[in-house]
Amino acid sequence: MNEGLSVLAIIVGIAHSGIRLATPYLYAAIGETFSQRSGVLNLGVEGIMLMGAYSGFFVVFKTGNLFLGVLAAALTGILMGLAMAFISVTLQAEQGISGIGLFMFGLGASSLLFKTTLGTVEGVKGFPELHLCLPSGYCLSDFPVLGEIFLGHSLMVYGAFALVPVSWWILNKTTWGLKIRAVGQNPQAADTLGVSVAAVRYITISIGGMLAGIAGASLSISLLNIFQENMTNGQGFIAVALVYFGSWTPFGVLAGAMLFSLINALQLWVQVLGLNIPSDVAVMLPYLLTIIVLAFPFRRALQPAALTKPFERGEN
Amino acid sequence: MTKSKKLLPSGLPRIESIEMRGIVKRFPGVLANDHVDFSVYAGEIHALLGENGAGKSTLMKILYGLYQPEEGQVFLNGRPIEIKSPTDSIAHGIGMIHQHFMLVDNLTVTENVALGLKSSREPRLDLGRVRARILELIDKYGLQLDPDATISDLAVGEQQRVEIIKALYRGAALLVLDEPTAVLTPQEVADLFVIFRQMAKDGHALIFISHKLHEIIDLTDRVTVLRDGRVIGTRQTAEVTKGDLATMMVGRDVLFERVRPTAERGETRLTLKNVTAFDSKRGHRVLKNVSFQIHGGEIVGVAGVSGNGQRQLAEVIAGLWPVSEGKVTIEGQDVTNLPPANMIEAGLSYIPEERMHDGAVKEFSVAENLILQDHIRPPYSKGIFLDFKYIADHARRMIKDFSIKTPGQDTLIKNLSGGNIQKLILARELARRPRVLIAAQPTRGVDIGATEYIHNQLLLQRAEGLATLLISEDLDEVRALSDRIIVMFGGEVMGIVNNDDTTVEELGLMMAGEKRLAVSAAGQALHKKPVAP
Amino acid sequence: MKKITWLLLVLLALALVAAQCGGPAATEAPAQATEAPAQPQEAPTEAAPAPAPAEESGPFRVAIVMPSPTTDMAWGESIYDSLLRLQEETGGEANFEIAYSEGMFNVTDAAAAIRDYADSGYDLVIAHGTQYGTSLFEIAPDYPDTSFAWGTATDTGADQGLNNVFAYEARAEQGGFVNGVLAAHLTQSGVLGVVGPVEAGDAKLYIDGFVAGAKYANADITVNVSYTGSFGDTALAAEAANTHIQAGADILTGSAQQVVGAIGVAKEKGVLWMGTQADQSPLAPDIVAATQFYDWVPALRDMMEKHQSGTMGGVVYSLTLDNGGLQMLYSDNLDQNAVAAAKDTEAAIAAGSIDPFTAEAGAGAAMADEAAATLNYDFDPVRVAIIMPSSITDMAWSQSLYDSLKQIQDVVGADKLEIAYSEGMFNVTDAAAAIRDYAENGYNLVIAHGAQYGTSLFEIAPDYPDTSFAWGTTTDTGAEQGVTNVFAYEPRAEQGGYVSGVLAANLTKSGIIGVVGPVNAGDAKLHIDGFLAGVKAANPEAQVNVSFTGSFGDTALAAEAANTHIQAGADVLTGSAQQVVGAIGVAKDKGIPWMGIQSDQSPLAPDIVVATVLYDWRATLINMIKMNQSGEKGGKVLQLTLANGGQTMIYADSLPAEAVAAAKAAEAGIISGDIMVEIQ
Repeated sequence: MNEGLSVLAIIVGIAHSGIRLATPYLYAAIGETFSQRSGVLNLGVEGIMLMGAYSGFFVVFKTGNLFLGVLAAALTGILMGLAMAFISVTLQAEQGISGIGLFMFGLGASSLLFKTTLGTVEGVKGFPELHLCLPSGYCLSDFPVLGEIFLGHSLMVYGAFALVPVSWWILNKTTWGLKIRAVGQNPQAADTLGVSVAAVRYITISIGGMLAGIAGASLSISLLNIFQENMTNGQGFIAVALVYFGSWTPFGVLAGAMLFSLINALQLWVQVLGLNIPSDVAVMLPYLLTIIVLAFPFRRALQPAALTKPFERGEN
Repeated sequence: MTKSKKLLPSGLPRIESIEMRGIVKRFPGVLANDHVDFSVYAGEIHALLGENGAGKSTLMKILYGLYQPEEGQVFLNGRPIEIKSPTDSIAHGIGMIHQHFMLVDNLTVTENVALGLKSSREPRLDLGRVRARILELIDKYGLQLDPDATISDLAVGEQQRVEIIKALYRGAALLVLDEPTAVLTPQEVADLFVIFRQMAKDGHALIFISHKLHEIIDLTDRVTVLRDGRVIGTRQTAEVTKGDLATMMVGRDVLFERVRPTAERGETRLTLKNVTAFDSKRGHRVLKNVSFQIHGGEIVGVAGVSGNGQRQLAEVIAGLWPVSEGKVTIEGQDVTNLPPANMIEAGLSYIPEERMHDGAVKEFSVAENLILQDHIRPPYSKGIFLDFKYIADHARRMIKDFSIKTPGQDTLIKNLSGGNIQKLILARELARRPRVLIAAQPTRGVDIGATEYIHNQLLLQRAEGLATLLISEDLDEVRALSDRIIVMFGGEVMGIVNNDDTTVEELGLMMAGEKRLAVSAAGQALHKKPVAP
Repeated sequence: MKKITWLLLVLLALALVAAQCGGPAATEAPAQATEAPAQPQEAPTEAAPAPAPAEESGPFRVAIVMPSPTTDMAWGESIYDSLLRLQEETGGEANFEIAYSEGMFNVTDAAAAIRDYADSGYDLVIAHGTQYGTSLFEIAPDYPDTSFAWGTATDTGADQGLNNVFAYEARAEQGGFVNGVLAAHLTQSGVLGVVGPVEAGDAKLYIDGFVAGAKYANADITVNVSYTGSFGDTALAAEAANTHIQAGADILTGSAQQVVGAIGVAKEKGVLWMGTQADQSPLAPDIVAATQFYDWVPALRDMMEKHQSGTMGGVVYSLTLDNGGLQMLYSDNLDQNAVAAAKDTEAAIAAGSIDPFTAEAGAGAAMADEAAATLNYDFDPVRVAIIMPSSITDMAWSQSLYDSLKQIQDVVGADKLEIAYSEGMFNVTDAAAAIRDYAENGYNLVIAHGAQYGTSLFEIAPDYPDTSFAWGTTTDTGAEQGVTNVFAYEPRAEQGGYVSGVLAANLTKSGIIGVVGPVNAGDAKLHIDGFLAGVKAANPEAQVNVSFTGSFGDTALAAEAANTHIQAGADVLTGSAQQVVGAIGVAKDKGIPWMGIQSDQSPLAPDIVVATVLYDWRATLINMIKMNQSGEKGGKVLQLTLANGGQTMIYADSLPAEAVAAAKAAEAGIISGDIMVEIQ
């Protein structure tokens, strides 16, 4: 047992870790929220994240320019999103299968590119943590509790959290958001009012792809600063689950991502503190919680009615 | 072109005339519109009449920009116009009220109206402004509606009004009404007609699509009849009768009246006692405490607006939907929650609502579809082998007996018309000599000729002592065939009445959930003199 | 709809192809030289040594066909000179007659020349170029009394039924490596330039060796390599040399006859040159610092003697530093320390304790790999397949095994050891399919590199009794189930863990040490148990916090676990599985020392990775291969221990001496058996 650590310090530690861990989930799940709200289930998030992680890392590795890295990851994500859109919207293919195809492509292609261009795990200098230090040498991130929890993260972390209200605003307060919600719920209705279902879906899937790419980059050039094959390790799929968890709303996704990440951080502390709980149980906690929440049947009523359904004009 | 343009109550200009000339539209294997001419003028309600597949919907989708014609031209106030998409038609002042409402049910009325419109402060929504304008329209047209209500909380009639508001908001001067009464109670239909007449008076042009002849006679000024993609004729409504229209529509004389001779009411065949069922996905009750009995030699109709538990009622009896409480018995045998095969064994036949989905196999031949359930029994099989000769003979017999129009018993049924498929299913189900028949929407989408035939078959079976539960959203059909009528609303039985002792108004109130009659445990009607067994 | 399905299928197929290339399976077949036998080996085809027919009348007549001139100062000259010396040794032209055709870059002409010489009754006809092989194998059967020789090659055509062809090659990487070490010691700018011809054969061996040697002596050195794409384009080689000098190189090397152009430039600019093949010092005595000199005389002499005693061919000759075929010539005016380093390297290569292809960058002369020195690579050609749960670049479990197998292949050559692998096989069903595929395809040894594969393996193994399987980490060979062809292997990770623990306990100031584990099982559990025991033994007061992430690959969670440990006060971290790259990143950011295990993780964070328990699978692998070939298909449990060299400790120079001493004492204790590491 640790005697030296106060409960407060542990809580601060959990919160700080939770915020960091939530970052890639937030980017990916918010992106997926856009896509699903317009009626397209993109299971390729994991693959896009891997490609984003790779391309962001590679560009930073070669140029040292972090913003170019993020840009590369975003562009890669958009390209893969467009591929998904082409398959699922234009060709009206089964979304689940095309998503899995995209995932496998991303997994294979990122590994192949990694092997041919880098070959071995390397490190880069990624986004620095922002400590906001005064000339006196006092850093705001050392300010008890609040500063310790919320400051001292990198720009990518803040970006993820800033995305939540922005996405909420877009979805609920703009004409675009209304179109997205309508297309996901009743594309025929939107179509009869002159809304292009295909255009809306292309754009949302691209946004989803872009954010998934950035999610990957948040791992490779902000949180970990390395690239490793298959480094996302299923996070993209958890992000998809978080969208369901969050009832297709940005703040719901935020709640889900934070809950999941905080419990993950908590279980790390449980182990570090040597509490008498088997590690397997601790590790299981976040997933257990996810399953419990997802099992509530009422959630299905909140699901966009046209999710996974291709749109064809004239079919009712 | 007059200089002093007359304005509509919405403050927008009228459409003096829309003319569609020589419209041709082909789909693979079908000529959906064959040089169709059609016109409508300001202040006029023009009915478009035709059987399913006659080309009404295609013509209107062309007008609305959802399809492009191969030939022909649309003229607005005498000038040719191009309509490439709904955006174009909306811009020209054409609005469409679809048969299946085009509403996003988790959005509010205001949001549904605002969808697809430019906001005054892009990219932000300006719902306040939209709401104010909706209130203005509600006021001007006398439509009762709460602009802040969520669509899923609204009654069907209210949803219809949202559709009208949507069209008016977009400046619709011409409204296309695609079977707008299909899902309404008689009262709601009456209210709606008041609105339509007022709109016409105000200078709107209305196109009214329906196959309910009495509504057309009731409401419209002119009527155009389509058959097989061609215009059969355009008449002043005042100058034609229902019979004239039916003859134009079908191409031969049609009998409307159904003769329902008094029949001997037999022993109890089917009993439901306090049956309750749940939709596990949505987590709510779809049937609440439903009780009734059906006897031999009796047709019991189930009336109700679509989605009030009729489908689940049929499936519960057929063994396709689990009963959570209560009991279903067929001739005294408890069949609650038994699998469909046991139901069939117990003497049940079922004509399902979705005939192509649940009732037949598209890729099978007529002969194969005729033995779907019974193929494992003699006389269709010998041991593990099918007796093809018998099956073919059986099919030929059925085709003849039920006048199924098919090139032969080996034709795949996906090539038959809806009416003939329905006749085939009926033939199959009746050939088994059932004790109880559940007929769910037996004539929906079926042409008038086949409807006539099916109705007569049902009446014939009644005379032979069959107990039939007829579920239909067409109140006219229920009225024409039933001895007694069960009215359902929200999964509950609102009342069971003798057909001869009730009125359309009474049924309408019960269908709307506004009137409830006491029902005895045995499911007999109490308010009127009970029928002696 | 059909069209869409079709398109989707195409797309899926593409994705699968990409996945295939990138991930799961790939077969390695790099062109590397074969193992050099210290003594020329008799080819197996030649069962009975024929009695000497030699009624030797007249001189021994040798003819050589070569692509470049005899005065090319390189490849051609090296063998021609050797022939002249042999001629001198045997008593001049009367006893030893030499004919040659030079500049035979056209293979058809060369073939004609070879046939002419054989027809004219030459005893030994040498085809001095890889490109002549096909023609040679066609001609040789027509002249059974003539001996032929083919270089550079290790193929005597025995499997085509030929018995009158010798093969020879130079292990150019050895001298290349020595040259590299020397250059690294001599360079002031830290930049070296290499002017190569084409990336193949002798030149590639030499250059690879050179680069490895330079890196070995100084990991930070820059070696710029350029290939001209030609053997004879002297002008281009000169230009390449100029370019290298402009790029800051102060020492150059290169190979093939073209280099005379480059040497000219070097001379002009006053930069040093490292030669190979022939002695190039006459060209520019002042600047040619060292030369790897090919001495073909012993090989040629042996060919002559074999021929005269009736053995017409079937023997492979390799020039090595050990057998004197390769000789290092050093200029007199060099820094003596540098020469000493080069000579030490020479000796180490000759003794086998340095392998140019696997030498650790920056290891310098420090790390003498004793285990490697005692490895005996003497086995028959073998095909080995590995199925592993993560990637061969995981910096951990899978990479450690793959690297070891690759090292063996680098020594024995790809034709003697064929490697196939399927990585990323986290799905056990896929892994089982792969295991069966490899067995079906005739691989001799199929290694299932993960505890999770056991059940499938025991089901598959009985179907392929001639194949050996290996299962790690476990001690169960399936003998109880009647399985006879499965080896079990496991690193005794607790041993290295213990030593790491002792070291960690000596390093920690806060008294708190953090461990980032994957799941509490298998190799990771052993390592952590040992680590805990080591810490406890060295400092009972120290506290070890252990956390498991529940996954092998969750890099982000491992990073967060490391963060948590640091917040909880840990000032030394360790952990295992591929996920730890995330934790190492955090350690690097926070400046916390890291103890690695499995693979060498120091490239990720050289300053932070203070010690590594490196798994060296070579002895284990060779053992399994040999047992397979001796008919013992399985049933043995093989362990990697500190004592048998399966685990080696690497310590960073930055560590305090007393801490290292304590760790080394622990190492010695475990090896001697004085310390028994207890496992929970």
